Amino acid sequence: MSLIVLNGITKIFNRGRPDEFTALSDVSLEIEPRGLAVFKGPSGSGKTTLLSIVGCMAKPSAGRVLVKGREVTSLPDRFLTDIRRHTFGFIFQQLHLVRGISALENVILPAYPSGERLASLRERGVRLLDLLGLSHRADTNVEWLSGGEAQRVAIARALINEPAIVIADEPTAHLDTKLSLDFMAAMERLKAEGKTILFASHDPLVYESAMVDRVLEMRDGRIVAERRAS
Amino acid sequence: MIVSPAVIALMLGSAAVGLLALYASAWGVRILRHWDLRSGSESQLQLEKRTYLVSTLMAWAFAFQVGSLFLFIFTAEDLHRLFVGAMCAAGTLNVNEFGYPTILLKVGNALLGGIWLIVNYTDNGASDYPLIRKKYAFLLVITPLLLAEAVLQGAYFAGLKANVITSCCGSLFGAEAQGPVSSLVGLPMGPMRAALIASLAITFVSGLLFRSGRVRAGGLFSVSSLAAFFISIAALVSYISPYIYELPTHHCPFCILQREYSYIGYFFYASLLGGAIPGAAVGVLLSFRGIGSLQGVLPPILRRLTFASLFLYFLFSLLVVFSIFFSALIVEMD
Repeated sequence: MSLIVLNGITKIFNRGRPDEFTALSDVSLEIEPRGLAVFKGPSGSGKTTLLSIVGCMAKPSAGRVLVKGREVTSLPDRFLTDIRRHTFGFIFQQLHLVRGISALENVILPAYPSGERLASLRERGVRLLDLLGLSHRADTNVEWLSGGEAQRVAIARALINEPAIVIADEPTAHLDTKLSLDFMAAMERLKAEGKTILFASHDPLVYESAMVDRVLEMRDGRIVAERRAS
Repeated sequence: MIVSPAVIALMLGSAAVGLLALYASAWGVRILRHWDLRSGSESQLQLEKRTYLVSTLMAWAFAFQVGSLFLFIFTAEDLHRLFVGAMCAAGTLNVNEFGYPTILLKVGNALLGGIWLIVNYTDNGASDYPLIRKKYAFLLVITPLLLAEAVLQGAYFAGLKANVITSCCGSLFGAEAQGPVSSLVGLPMGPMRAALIASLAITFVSGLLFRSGRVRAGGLFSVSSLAAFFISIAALVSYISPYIYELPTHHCPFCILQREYSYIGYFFYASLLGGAIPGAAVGVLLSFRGIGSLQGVLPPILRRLTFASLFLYFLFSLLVVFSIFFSALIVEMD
């Protein structure tokens, strides 16, 4: 059974205005669990918009999205919040770490609304940082971390709610080759744990990686080509 | 027309509620005709987005509607000083022919608006909009009443002339009173007391049975709580108010809103309205208990509504007992 199903997704910004823009045009797609899929394409091809819709951060103008068999596009925000929190982990191009607080506090921040005990949250946060080789920097404020360390904090933060799906938008855009390879290694471990990973990227280092199961090429809001790992 | 801040607030509020109801009804018609959750069409997604906005707007509009009933009563009470002959809101409402129809319509709309709010809240508790068609059909029924209320209220306030000599409540609700509203005065005290006790007793017993898990008692509870509302209003006029005034011939339902009587009328009316709305809503919601996605949503809502209704009717009963027990009036009833 597919983990994510997209049926005829269209997204039009500024409908009816002079600056109307069609970001996605009738995209249909099925994504299987426990794989790594990369959406590649030039800027403006619709990659980020598509991931935003899959991750329940935006609603399409037309079409339906099913996540784990549940239709999510018709859900009001009060239901989507819970799905976003427990199903998806997000890694953004700009890491959006909160300055002035420690790496560990950044990691556990998305789990605060769950009401879970702080002690158990901190324990889980430390374990995640440890997994990414960063436990010695847990109490360091994020503004003192290097680019690679900050990237790993963002990964740990995406995993704090134990999501089934990790979404990353241009994760290597600001990383050098070594840090990009480190990032991909971390993703490989997540994939081995059974997570489903979705990337938007136009970095060859990402979409040509051997660990990628599926590359979907986008242009002008449509999926124009697809390559599956043999 | 007498211009006071409360009159302006009521007129603007009613106009706003009426316009919002019209806007919501236009979307309601589209929803009734085109709603199809299985479709991913652009128009369906537009309806889904719009219904969220519309139901939020209407929730605030109806919350104002319920509150405006009390503002209207307060305003009528406050303005009585301006009219020769008026001793309380009864006289103010009698200044022209629109006063009493307005207040009766406001009471009806407050009841319906309160029930709509509860249906809307229940619908929002499920993820698949199970009551969407029903609540918009209900809204289409209420909208003409809201517009009628705005028009009647406007006509009433526009027709308030300070040179009108009106009647005092002594003649409107006295022993010799005549007319449909005043006919409540003539109801015999003994049978009214029996009807009040019986309706409240049935409400309490059926409500407690329903809360303990007897689903079939829910229907009876709903009907009896609504009946208790009307019987209690009638009993307030014919049976209870003479005890408050300590005068067997005075039955005014508005003088009890005055300071001399510790504003006890507001507590009577608020507890009655607060008891009737959730009680009636229980019956409405029970008719939806077969809907799959409401299985987890309905039981806690029904429990809370029943508790709220029982608690407020209990409060009303305490006020009645208190008013009669501490009254110097002794009435011999056959």
